[in-house]
Amino acid sequence: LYLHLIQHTLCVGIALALAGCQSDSSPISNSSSTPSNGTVIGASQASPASCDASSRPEPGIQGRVPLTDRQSGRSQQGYTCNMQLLGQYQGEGTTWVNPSYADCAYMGTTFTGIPLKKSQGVQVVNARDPSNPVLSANLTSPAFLLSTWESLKVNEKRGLLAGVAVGPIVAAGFFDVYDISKDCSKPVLQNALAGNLTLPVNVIGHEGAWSPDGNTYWATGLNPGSVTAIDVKDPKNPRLLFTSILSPNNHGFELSEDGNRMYLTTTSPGGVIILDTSAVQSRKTLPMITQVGSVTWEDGDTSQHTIPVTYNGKPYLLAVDEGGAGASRFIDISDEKKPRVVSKVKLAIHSPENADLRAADTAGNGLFGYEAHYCGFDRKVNPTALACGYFQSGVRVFDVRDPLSPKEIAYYNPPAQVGKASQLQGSEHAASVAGMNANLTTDWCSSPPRFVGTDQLWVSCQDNGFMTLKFTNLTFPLPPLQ
Amino acid sequence: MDNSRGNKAKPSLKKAFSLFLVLVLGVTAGAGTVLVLIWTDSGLIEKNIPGLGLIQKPSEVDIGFVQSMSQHHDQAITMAQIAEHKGGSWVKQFARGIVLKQLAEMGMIAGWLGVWKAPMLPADNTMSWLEKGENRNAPIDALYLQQCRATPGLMPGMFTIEQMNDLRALEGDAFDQRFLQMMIEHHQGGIPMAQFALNNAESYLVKSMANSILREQSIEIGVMSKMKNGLADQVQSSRGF
Repeated sequence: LYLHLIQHTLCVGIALALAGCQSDSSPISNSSSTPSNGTVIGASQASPASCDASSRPEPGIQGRVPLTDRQSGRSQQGYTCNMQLLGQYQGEGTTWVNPSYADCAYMGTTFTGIPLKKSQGVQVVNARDPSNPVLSANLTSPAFLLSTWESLKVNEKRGLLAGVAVGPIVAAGFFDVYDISKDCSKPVLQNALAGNLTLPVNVIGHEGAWSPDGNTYWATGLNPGSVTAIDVKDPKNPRLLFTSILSPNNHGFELSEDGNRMYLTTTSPGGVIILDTSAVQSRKTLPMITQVGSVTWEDGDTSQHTIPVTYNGKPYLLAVDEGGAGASRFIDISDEKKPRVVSKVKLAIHSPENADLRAADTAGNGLFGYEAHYCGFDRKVNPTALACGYFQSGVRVFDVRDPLSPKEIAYYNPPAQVGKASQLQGSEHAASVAGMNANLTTDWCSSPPRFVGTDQLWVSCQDNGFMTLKFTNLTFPLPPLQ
Repeated sequence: MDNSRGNKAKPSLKKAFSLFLVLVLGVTAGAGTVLVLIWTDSGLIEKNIPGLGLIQKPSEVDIGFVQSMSQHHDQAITMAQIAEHKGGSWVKQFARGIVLKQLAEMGMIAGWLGVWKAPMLPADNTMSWLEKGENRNAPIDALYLQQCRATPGLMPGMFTIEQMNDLRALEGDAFDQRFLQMMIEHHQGGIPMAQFALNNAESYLVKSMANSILREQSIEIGVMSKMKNGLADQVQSSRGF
């Protein structure tokens, strides 16, 4: 008994002593953490939009679809503010992340819906007439058939579309790349099955993104935090450059314009780690990735993805959380060893005092509440507008000419598709385990919106599919700040 | 230390006081050996528990070694996962053992680094932590240090992109032979790193892992060498030599 007591006391003593070692002043840590109270120098919330007369606005709190509207059927008419629907291709719904490029959109569909879907793989939508988008092809190569989840991404510079097989949540084995540069409505598979079916053997995929030059496609694996780089200089013969577990967990990311930095999100705690990827970018014979800095926060979690932008040469990241009412936030990365959260693009419904309302409204409508998921800027140098998709708050647009003071200017929360689950087998919300037999009293808008021309926003939501939206009330484009 | 006072304490108080003392000393202990006070029937005695260096703040060698070994393991696991997919039955089984063992060690490393609030990745890829080893001038460690200095950014035992992709492209016996040869060389690069940590690390946890890697990988080299020769014999006999 005495020995047990000694053993127990030693264990407690060791545990306490380890806790005592956790000093932020450690010379080996480059990480910085935002204060736990979440204080920032800029805004903590985006001011709400002022809607024109033709709008059908939300009834109360910014971003909220009240339980009464869900029960009465009002949410099935949707909510608009300074935006209108121009055209739509709904199909059987769509999955988490679906890009658009030139006049086309690419709608991934569910893994779990494969037995019942009529339209398999990635659906190619031709939107040359934005008021009448039409299905032009189905891409059913292995990765695209098995669902690309959050890995389906376009490289604008080279006109390439690629993704990895993700299946139910993570999977290994397939990477498909298509040329969309000549005719975006008729993608051409580059690495045909006979080429390298087994490439890459040990990639675990969940998220993905291109280096801006289009020569490297990166995939990450969620948990543990695997990172894989694939050389796509010759899209007909992709080859593996790097694969490693770099952190306990990870999620989405983007790379710097020169490809030498990866801004990688973490799921728990929410945050971003900055990695030096120059050894892969420059094709060192034995590439090793190192960590430059990191930042974490407590008022959001399951960070989803990042977008690097610059304002008058000063670099910032936008980081989006899909959990913990984190929404999105701007991070100053001028000192990349000590990144610092400077403002937050939260809605009123994300406030801590609205936690009970959030829980009551969204109960029975799947795994996700009013969280954000993917965003897009109108441009990456001196951006003026930011658009984000939210799981139950629709698609929302912000004036971000001053990153410290985001202001909402428009939103479109599409009509809820109550009762149509059986027709929406391509939608994760309607047909997968994440939906958990969702009541569909709102849509899930999880894809990155894209600004098109001077007055449109193209986006897909899981139940409503691909939509072209038009700004009203001269809301966009925004004039330069005085 | 006066240990005569302890005899007069009641058993329940003894336990409580013992707990208190161990906690206090556990937190405040400074060097690699921890002083623990234990109440026995003959009173309060002090006992040095060597090797409980995990209680102290990790050294740069402790952190640098596990970060670098994690990268080293990463490539071994990648190679072994390829072998799990493409190898012959014996190679597959052996590779599976490497995957399980090294993934477990990477998990331990990730846990320690998390507790130490250190990233899984080093801040540079030159293995600069070697320069912090107090015993780095011992012959065996000096040799490893010299090797690393001579090839900055190229950790001994690691293979290039081309070598890894060449391995992926092989099939059958040619794959097995190349895999075994590469894993032997990979281990031969990892062993002196573990030896360096054994001689220069501070943490008991880190030294213990280094010792374990040293032992396991030395044995595995022997096994792989036998497998390699055995495979060669089988290939020769199948060709009628």
